[in-house]
Amino acid sequence: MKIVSAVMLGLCTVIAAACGGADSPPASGTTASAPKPAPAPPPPANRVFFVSPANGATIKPMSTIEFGSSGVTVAAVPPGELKPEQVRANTIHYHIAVDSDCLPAGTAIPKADPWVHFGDGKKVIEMSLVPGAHRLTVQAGDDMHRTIAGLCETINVTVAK
Amino acid sequence: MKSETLKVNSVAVACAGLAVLGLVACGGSEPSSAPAAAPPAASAPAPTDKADGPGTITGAVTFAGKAPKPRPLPMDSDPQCAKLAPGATSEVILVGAGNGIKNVFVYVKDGLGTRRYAVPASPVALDQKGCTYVPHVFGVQVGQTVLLSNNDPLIHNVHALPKNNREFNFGQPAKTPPVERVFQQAEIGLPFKCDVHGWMNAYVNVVTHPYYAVTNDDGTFEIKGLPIGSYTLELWHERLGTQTVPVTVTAEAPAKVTASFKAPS
Repeated sequence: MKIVSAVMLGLCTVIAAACGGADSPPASGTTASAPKPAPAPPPPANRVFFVSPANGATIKPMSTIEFGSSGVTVAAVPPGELKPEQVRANTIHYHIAVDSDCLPAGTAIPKADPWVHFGDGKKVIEMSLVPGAHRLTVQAGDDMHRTIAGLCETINVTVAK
Repeated sequence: MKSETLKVNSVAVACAGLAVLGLVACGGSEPSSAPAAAPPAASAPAPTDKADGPGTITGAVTFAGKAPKPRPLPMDSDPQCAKLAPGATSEVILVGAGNGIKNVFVYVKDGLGTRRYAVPASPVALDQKGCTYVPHVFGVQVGQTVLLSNNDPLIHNVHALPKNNREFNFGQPAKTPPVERVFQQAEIGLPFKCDVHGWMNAYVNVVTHPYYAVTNDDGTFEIKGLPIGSYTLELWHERLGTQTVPVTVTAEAPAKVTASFKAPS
């Protein structure tokens, strides 16, 4: 019976670890035995990242892409034209570009190819891609769509035929 | 032994509960923007009615007052678009000859009773061309395929924001193949937008039958193949609102409908 209990507890741990938070980075591994209370985690570094696909992954021509973040608040851009003093601190929304690199900090992300804006604060999109190698870049912008130092990630994927 | 069994059972129950919570949390964090792959067709009864009735409705929709000048589209943010479609103007209110309004969606809202119609096998096409959606307003039947193409040499995304159907949002870079989507619920004025180019908007109108039309440049329209009877037409415009018109259809001559929209106050 103890064996059954251990298996069930292990399963619980795996489920909890696999699910994580909606904005947690992809898990790098799981542990089944954690009897000691874990030390308080350090404050998360501000970053944005791809939840999926993983860097180096081979994906389908139409794939779901999901972003995540830590240390920042993701929110929809307020309606209307904003003044710089109205920009909310530490609040971002995502942008994705295909086959493009991160823009320098402080750049206004253009409302133009190749940047898809997520001004509604959402974090998922399907992406159609032609087969072959592609770069995907997720970059955070503030309420005025300005890039923020360190809040960008680029991954490489291969789209299968 | 009994207490140990209870202990195991309680662990199992707790774990099952956690698993359910886990599934809900993992799968349901953002259901509205989940991929909207074409869902399976609804298991509806087989269609029994053909759209080959003897009745026709013709009509014209006009704009009351001075027609607004077409507003230039602000394509400056993307130089490629500005180059592709120099001088492009907004399609929100387009008034043509005789003050006719283009892009009014006209459909039979009431009067068809329990009739059911086959879903057309051919898709309805929506292109992204010159950094605009073509057509700007269109109709489709519930269950009919919409084929979305990008004919521009740059990326667009198609973000549908329905009230009754499932939201979808996909990116469509240049040279990628057309994408199919299907709407399973009737819905009038369902907006599409591009999150790259803020001026790009289109509206699909999803209806349960084939009796609809979109007004031409001069505001005219025609709906054919209706059974004889009395109907309520609804006229929908993205900015000017809606109105309904009663109409009686006979076999002898087309029923004529005229309607007018005022400028928004």
